[in-house]
Amino acid sequence: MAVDLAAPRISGSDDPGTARRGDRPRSGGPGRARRAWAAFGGPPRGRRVPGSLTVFLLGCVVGTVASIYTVRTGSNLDYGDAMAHLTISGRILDSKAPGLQQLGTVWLPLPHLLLLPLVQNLFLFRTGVAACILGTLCLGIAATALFRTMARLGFGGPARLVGLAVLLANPSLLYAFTTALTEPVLIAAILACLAGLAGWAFSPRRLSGGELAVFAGIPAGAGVLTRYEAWALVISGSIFVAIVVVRRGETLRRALVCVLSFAAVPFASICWWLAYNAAWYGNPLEFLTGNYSAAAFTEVFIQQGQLTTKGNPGLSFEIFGWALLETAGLVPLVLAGLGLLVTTARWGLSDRALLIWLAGTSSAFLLFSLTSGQHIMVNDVSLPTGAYNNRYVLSAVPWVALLIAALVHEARGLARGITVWPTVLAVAALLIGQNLWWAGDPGERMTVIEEAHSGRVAFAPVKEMATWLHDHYDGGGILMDESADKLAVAPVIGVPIGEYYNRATGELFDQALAEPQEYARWVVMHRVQVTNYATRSALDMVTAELAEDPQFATDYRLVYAISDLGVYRRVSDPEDPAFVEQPGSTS
Amino acid sequence: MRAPLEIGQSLLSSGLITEDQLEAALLRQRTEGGHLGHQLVLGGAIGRRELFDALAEQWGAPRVDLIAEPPDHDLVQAVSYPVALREGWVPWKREGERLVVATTVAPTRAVEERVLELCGPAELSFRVTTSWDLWRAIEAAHRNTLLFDSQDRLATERPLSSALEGLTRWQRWSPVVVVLLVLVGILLSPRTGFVVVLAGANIVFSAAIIFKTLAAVLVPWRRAHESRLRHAEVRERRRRGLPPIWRQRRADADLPTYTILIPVYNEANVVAKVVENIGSLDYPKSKLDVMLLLEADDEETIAVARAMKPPEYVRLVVVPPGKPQTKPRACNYGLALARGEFAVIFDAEDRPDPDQLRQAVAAFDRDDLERAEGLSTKNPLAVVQASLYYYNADYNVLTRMFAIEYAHWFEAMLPGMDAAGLPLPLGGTSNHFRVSALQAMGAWDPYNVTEDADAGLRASVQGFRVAVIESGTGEEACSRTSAWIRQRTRWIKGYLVTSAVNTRHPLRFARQVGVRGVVGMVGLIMATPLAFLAYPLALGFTAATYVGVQFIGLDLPAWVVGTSIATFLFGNAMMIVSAAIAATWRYNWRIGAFAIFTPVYWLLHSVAAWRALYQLVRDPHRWEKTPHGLTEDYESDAHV
Repeated sequence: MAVDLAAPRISGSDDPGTARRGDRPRSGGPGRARRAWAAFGGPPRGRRVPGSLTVFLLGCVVGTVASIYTVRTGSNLDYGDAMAHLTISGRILDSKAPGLQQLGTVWLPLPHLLLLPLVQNLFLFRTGVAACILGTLCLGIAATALFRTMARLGFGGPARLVGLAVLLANPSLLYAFTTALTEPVLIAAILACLAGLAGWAFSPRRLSGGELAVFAGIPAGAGVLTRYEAWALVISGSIFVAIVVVRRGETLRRALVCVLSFAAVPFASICWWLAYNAAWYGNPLEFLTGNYSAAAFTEVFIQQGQLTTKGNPGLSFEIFGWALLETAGLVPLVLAGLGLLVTTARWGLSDRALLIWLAGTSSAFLLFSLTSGQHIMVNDVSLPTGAYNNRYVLSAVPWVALLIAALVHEARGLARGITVWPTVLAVAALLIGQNLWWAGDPGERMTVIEEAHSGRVAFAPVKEMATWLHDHYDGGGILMDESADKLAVAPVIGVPIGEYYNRATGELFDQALAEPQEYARWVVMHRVQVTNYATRSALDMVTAELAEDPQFATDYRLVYAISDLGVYRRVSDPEDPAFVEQPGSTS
Repeated sequence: MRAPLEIGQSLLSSGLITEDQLEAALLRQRTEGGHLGHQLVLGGAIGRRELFDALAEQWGAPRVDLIAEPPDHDLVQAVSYPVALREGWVPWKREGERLVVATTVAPTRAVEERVLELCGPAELSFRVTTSWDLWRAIEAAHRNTLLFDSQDRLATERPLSSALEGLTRWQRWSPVVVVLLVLVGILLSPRTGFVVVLAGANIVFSAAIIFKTLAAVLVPWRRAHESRLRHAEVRERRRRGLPPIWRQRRADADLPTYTILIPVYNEANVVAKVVENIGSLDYPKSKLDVMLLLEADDEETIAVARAMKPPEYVRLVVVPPGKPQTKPRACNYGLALARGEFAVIFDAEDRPDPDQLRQAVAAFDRDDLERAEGLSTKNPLAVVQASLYYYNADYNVLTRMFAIEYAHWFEAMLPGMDAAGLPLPLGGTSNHFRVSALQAMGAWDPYNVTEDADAGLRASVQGFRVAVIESGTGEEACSRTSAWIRQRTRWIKGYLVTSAVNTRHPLRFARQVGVRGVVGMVGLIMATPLAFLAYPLALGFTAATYVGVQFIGLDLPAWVVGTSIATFLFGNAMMIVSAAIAATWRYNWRIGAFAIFTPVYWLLHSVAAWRALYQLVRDPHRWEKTPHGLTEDYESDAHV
């Protein structure tokens, strides 16, 4: 076992009161800046890490700027899943059948619950600003947690600065944090968990299991209820905790207590999720084996021979690597690789090294998922090529950031003549160069952005239809299968979700399908059934039920059509003068 | 008698003290009052024996060592221990027709007359003894009386006020009858029975929450009211040409002697901090009467206490063995030997605000003034409670929760109850008594494991008043869950016992304390343990009801389901919000944020409550001592 040569620079006392605010000399200008910088890179004082609030605000400011950009361009709603997440959140309270069951089992529930209060406002829901607010806060939390982790690892100011830059200057990550995708919550939870583990492991005082449960266990629990990568983090985190305790020379019983303390909240979260599935679907593993599970989703790809990563670790690694390359960037990846070499050489498998390895848990899980066929990812090196699901590698960015920060931290000792600030400047220049290269063709060079662009193109007609419906909707209810291919556009339609008869309304949906004229003034459906992604969940059930129904043709008339989509209005309702002028795209 | 200065000159001329030491002692005497000799000893200029040797020479009476030559046992009984302690002498022995008196005070004519009055005609001669020898001799001679007074006097003279007898028959059987009725009801009609139990649990839980919340809500009102009163007083004082602010601070020389009782047991690790903590009090040391109350079987702590060589104003009192071996018994023992006009209990690790004693004196003075001037119709003030906080608040999650609870209690509940005129249960330490009132109340009940809460209520029952002062004492929060549960078990058991003691004759109690007293008793002392007992029932039944109705098809009235869920959610939310505000106010948001875990913390309370209920039946007087010093020297700045 390698000796931890560069032990974290931790304050000698756990007493945060040793440094008093009143002790600071008063002066302005450069003196203040020097003090701010000293605080930024200073050692933690007990539980407090000076500079945390500043970093949180910095993260929020960066998130706000990114949000303003994506909301103005509308790109925050480019991902279909982003719109679906907003819709799920909204329908928990705003639905003809409100309740927790609206969370469904397709995705884990926490992001939806966090969005819940925000999407009650129709403007925040329609524009996606609700997700921007949540994502911005998550970015602030993620940056702060990364900063605190680096501080606990003993990194100085320059290394922390570089680590934060890697996180906050990654366009793909910033983009994702302005959307309702689950990455913002997941990455914030993972980093908060790491910060909690670092705070516990590197405290001068042996902290209790309760501290571990609150500061690491609860973030891990949040992650567990956000994405399945965090389930793996609970396992690796537990191993880390056990190793730290045993290395301290404490008893196995104490190690067990600490592991249980860490895992208690995530375990309870998992139990709650299983109970939820059992209570609403009669099967605790519904999320794993049900109609809307990832397994059911990938089954179609398996049948079509497109899940090429299953049983192929080499291809899985190649696809994963390419996604990481296009998401984290070549320069950061090379620097991270150097950081990995340096830390391994200098730190071995010390507690500090293990903590950084923990940040790679989600990547390991993703590789496992690809190899085991639980996950599909499409990019330039896959067959077929394209851009799909690459955003999952975003959870590796914190790992990259930590490794690069470690490289900068250790730079001084690598060779004679190497000093920190030139290293920082060199890294900064390389990162700027990386970003400039990305900016040359973001839709092609960054797979996450590429997928967003693809989504924008694919959803363009649907969104046009949705915008038309938003402008013309005059009440009376909408019958629509929002789970059908590309119809998760409720945010763009922008009417209260309580106006819809959709799959989520259960029996009401069935009744509306049976007798649409009794329930809905409006019907939105594919005029022809979509078969490209012939999963059970993507079939348009309204189309299946009504497209060939002569009674429907009698009761409703097509008022708007675009691509293969149609908006129908009940003929018995008073004519809206607006419909006299048919839009040009109607055919 | 010669002038007091002469003892100084005598010691100076004999080379026992220096000019500077004499000047310093004279200066302190001018500001603090008291005897010059005492000031010299306190200042470390001279030892106690040297002083009394000098006095013996001055008074013309040889010094006697009462430990080596104790007083005649029968003779000393002629003067009761309170009188002997007050007068400063004891009859030592008879030598034929001559009565020899051992004294710490100058043998003046008045003293001689007093001796003859109490001991009968005799020829008198005097020996000088040290103050330390005197109280030790008195304590030894009157040990049995002291033990009776500290252990059994309350139970003997006022059995209805003592927890010795525990529950009365009807109190013992009524819960059994209730449980049986519920069981029968459930057997006859499970649905109705379930609804009744669920409703009952929720009512108890809600009542406790509502009481706590209302009390907390009164705090801003109280502050505004006090502010208005202060402004009105300033205006009135100006109108009368008086200084606008009433001078709350007595001159040092006018301050009364203050007894500080510090019971310790198996606390060798923290007892050494006593001197440091008490030494930081802003109160003349010559007016302090500090007693470290040690249990006879606690040899380790006694050894440490002796080794630390406490200053002159600290007495090490070893409480003789006896049953029950409880903190109130030790405190009663100390109270019997107290010299002060006021008395306060501190724990060994307590860190009271420096001006706390002065604030307490000011509160009593203010009460005296208002009552004398006819400005107040309130009952006489018997005790003031300082607020308690934790100096290790952020040591771990448990200490944070404990700190939140204390903040809610001392910053919200007690001031709110005070504003509402409700009887206040006292905290374990930092309660300042007027000694005469405390003795009139019968002192602490040694059979009650929360003698503090009981004393507060008994004060109300007996026509006294309890108030709070805006001064704090830093304490060490219990940081270990197992120890916390034991401590909380004792507290909750004490509340149950206190409830039982005061409701042996409910109507009589109601007549004595009035509506407010009943509200305080029911809303706090009774509802607190009941709420903790009901909490898991309310939680379990609410969850079971929700799941049962939602998924299993359990047929329950909608109002029952809705009400219980709303009660539970709203109740917990209220507790979280009010506790978070109080803790943020007292500490900071980092502590206050942990209020979110209050529902989990309440589960720990429930464990302790059910344990307390079991002990109430099996072992009502068992005292589970809280260990101190678990967090060693850790100190956060959360309370600053």
